[in-house]
Amino acid sequence: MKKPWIKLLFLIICLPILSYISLRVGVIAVSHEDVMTFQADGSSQAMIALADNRIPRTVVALLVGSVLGLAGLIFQLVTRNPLASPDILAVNAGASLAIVLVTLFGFSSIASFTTASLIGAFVAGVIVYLLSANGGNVMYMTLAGASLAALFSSFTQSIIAYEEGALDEVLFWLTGSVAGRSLTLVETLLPWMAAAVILVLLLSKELETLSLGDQVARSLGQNVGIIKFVAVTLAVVLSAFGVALAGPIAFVGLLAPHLAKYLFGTAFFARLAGSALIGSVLLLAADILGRIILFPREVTVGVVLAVIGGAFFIYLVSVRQGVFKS
Amino acid sequence: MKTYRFRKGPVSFTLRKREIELALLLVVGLLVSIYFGLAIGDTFLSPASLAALFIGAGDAFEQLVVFEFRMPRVLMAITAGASLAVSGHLLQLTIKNELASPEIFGIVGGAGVATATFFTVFSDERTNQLSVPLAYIPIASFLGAIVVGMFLFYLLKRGVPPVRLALVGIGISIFSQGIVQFMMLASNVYRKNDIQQWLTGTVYAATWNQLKIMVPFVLLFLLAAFLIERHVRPLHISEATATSIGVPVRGIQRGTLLLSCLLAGIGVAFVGAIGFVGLMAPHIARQGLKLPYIWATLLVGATIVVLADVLARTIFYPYELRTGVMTAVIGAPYFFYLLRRMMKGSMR
Repeated sequence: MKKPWIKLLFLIICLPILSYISLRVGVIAVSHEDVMTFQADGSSQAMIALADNRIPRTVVALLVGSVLGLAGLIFQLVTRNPLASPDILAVNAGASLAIVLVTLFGFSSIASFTTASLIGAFVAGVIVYLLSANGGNVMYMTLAGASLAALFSSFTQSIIAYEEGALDEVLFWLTGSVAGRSLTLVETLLPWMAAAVILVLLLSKELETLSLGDQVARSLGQNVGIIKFVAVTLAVVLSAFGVALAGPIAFVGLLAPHLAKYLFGTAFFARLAGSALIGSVLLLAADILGRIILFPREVTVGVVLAVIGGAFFIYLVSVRQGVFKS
Repeated sequence: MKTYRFRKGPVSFTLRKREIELALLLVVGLLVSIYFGLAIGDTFLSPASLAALFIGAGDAFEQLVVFEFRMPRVLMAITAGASLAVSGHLLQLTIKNELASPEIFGIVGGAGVATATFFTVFSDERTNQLSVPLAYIPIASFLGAIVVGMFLFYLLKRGVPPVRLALVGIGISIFSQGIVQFMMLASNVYRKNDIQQWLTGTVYAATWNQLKIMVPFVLLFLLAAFLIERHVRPLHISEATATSIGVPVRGIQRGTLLLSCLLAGIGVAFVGAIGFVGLMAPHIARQGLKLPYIWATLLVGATIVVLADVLARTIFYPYELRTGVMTAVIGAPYFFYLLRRMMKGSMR
């Protein structure tokens, strides 16, 4: 498998297969016929399960996975930090804190959720950008991001501790889950997400140049400052949409770009598209796994990914020493 | 700089005037915050009436309030603050990075996982009560911290450089967050609340019995920290320097790592994950006061937690905030100050 296109095709084929599995697996039995003869207004238990739960969560997993994968790749490129991702760099934590805050003040509409998520992610993103713009040390950036995330989440925890009743819903959302999201939410956000993703793909050439390093990029005539700014903005927007839809989901943003790099090497566009596809595959697979491990109980996808991803991260920084030179 | 030298037989030391003054200042600061800790609450006590209580005068009710409720709480704040601060101090010296803290190293996360698991597993489904005494919780928390400590220790022994251990720690904290969240979703609403309490951390429920168990351990660990200190400081300059003046670098690194895990473990065992003390205190002592010593960190850490508790009790009086909320509130501006310094590039 030398050609990147074949690998991309393989990933693309994975999506419908996983989606099909995702539609069928769960507490309520859904047969092959049910999936094939699905009608939105069906009244059987399987139809209702499909319409209210399985289809929305599958769509959400696909979307969120791809935006997180892209955001992670951009963060890693711009900050030149192989450990950068929306979760490590506190972007997720910032968005979560903002969402909990607006919920505290009684807003619960989709619009307020998304706006808050955007603002929170931007605040964290700006800090990260400033840290990296100065040619910041990778180690410091990672530690600073992690400490910032710890700070944000300790505020989030404090707020929840005092408003448990009102925020029980938020607590569930905070663990990161693709379940229980309505399709209307997806419909509202879809155009925006699509626009951001397309922009990123259009910027593929510029990002590739940037990945060669600031100096090379500059000598090739690129305005590095502007490209970096645009790229980080896009990455922040993408992660904010991800958080607004599914809560702070760890590690997809870290893992997907690494796997893509491993699969596609230097073929940049394939790496970019691959990150998004791998993100979707990962999130969907983790969600299916979460439904199976403790059947009939469901483990939210955020938990599954934190555990798997945590182990991977520890492996990455302790065993694979070459990945990260400090 | 004015210094005082003392030399007699094998004993010799140098005292700098500035350091003595600052030390006195820190002690006075701690004493003042202890006074506030003892005096503020539903019944406010003037310094005179507090002093009267200490010599046995004063009415029985005030005696009860001060000696049974406020005193253990203040002492707990001091003990926990001191151990977390010194833990952070040792970690920062070992990896030569000012952002190190017990939280970053995942030690607190490990304690959290153990605690959350304990609460979830030992909860009676029918009565919603804990099926084992609450007094066992600190043991679980402490063991959780030690397990993470052992893992880090193993990696260090395998040749993973200390700096990288901080990254491993970040992984461990995210990993443990996942498990804690899972435990919270799996347990009933009472246990969920218990776990949440632990995660924020509070000295609210401190008792004399807890202190009797905790203090000897903390004193022992602190003593060890003081003994190891003079070997760690050359390490902060560079490993080569330390080796050349005869410091057994590997051994000292392992020793400090183990010691900071023990300190952080005992620090959070009884009060929960009170955050940011381990990050702030050593930094304030070293950068703010130019006192890169354990004793200074210890005093700063103790003062921070006592003051945080006082604030937590008074800000929304009669409601109490948790101590951990206040340390986060104090920690936030400080943290941004740190970040600003990083951006200026003065911290590489």
